[in-house]
Amino acid sequence: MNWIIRHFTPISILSIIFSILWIGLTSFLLPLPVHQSASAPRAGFSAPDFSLPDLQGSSLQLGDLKGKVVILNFWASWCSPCKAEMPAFQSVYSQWKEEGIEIVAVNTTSQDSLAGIQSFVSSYQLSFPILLDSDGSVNQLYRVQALPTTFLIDRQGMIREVIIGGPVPEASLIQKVEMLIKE
Amino acid sequence: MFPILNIGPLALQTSGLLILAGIWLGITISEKSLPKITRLISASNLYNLVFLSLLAGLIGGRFIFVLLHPEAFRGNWISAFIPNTQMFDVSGGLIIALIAALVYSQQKHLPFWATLDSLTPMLAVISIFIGLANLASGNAYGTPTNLPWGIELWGATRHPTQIYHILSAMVILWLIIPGKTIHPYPSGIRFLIFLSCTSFILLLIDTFHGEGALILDRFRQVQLFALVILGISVHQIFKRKNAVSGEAQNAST
Repeated sequence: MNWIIRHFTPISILSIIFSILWIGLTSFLLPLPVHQSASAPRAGFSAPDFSLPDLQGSSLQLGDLKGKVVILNFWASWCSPCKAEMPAFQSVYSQWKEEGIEIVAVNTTSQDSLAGIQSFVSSYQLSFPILLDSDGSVNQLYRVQALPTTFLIDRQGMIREVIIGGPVPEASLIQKVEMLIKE
Repeated sequence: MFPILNIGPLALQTSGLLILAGIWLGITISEKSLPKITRLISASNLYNLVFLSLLAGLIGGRFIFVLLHPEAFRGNWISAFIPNTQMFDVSGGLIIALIAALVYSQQKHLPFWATLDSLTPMLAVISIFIGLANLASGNAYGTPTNLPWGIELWGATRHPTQIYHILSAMVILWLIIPGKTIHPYPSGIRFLIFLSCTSFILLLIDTFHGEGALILDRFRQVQLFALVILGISVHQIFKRKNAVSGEAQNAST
């Protein structure tokens, strides 16, 4: 620090001139940050596409939901925070479905039982699609490391936010959904 | 990348844990360095200042969030008190934390520049831990590169911007940490040198960040902000140096 203070005048002048030149040159010569066209399970990237069967056996493809705001939730019937947040998801779905909201709840079936899932869905009266990830491939694709994990996806299919853990409070969910719907 | 630490049924976010560790280590280093930086502030004042600001920032961040999004709490006001990191306004929390720090400093008559100097080692340590937290979570990722030291992240080989940040923050810590002898710097110089070095490094590293807002569709917002901070801190260093040399001249005549 002594050295910096002793030579502060030339150091400061040089650093400011260098900074201005650096900003000027790099802004025109190097690539600027842009929305990523590549898909990855993080905010700012395109949501990785997948197709999974629901409880009735029909298949749902995430890519088909482009144009809607999608809440993609990873859950399991034994997970306490998942139980705590599901009523909030159902409430938001009931209120906002007509506005273009879709909730896709991917069950980590590789660590769950079909009986447990069915009892969970009926006890919380869930009306949104419940998808079964039997081999865990979609959990792997989205690098889910903790349950619940929620991805907020905009109408263009871009991930806007990743919420690891829960429960997500209803107030927070409403605020985020409103913001995406209004865009 | 190591975003989650699973301990039994608990899934803890590694980035949050690293920031907490940074605050704890930082305040410990600030306290140990205190006798070599200034004698105008006691360790207890330093601890109280930091913890009061943190507490005010946490409560304030939630309060501002509720004020900004009242519609989300309509008919469900109890949820405003749920402990959850999702419902938090970061800039609001920072402003409230700063106000709380200013009010506490005024009440305890803590000298402004000496207080900032005493907090500088803590800020430098936290800066290193912010880099580590970003490395763990994969945040603040770089632009794609072909350079041999690129790291695989989010589907591409990228500039390891988090590692650039950690290394440069370590150099800044080494620069500002007090040595064995007390140097007669004007108060505030240590903090201002930390601020100018950090702005300069941020300005350079941001060139390689893969995300960030632009001004006029061309200039990176963070770089321009860092340039302004660099200019202000350099100006303040000259001002502080001149003020002290003027006082010394007056005293000798």
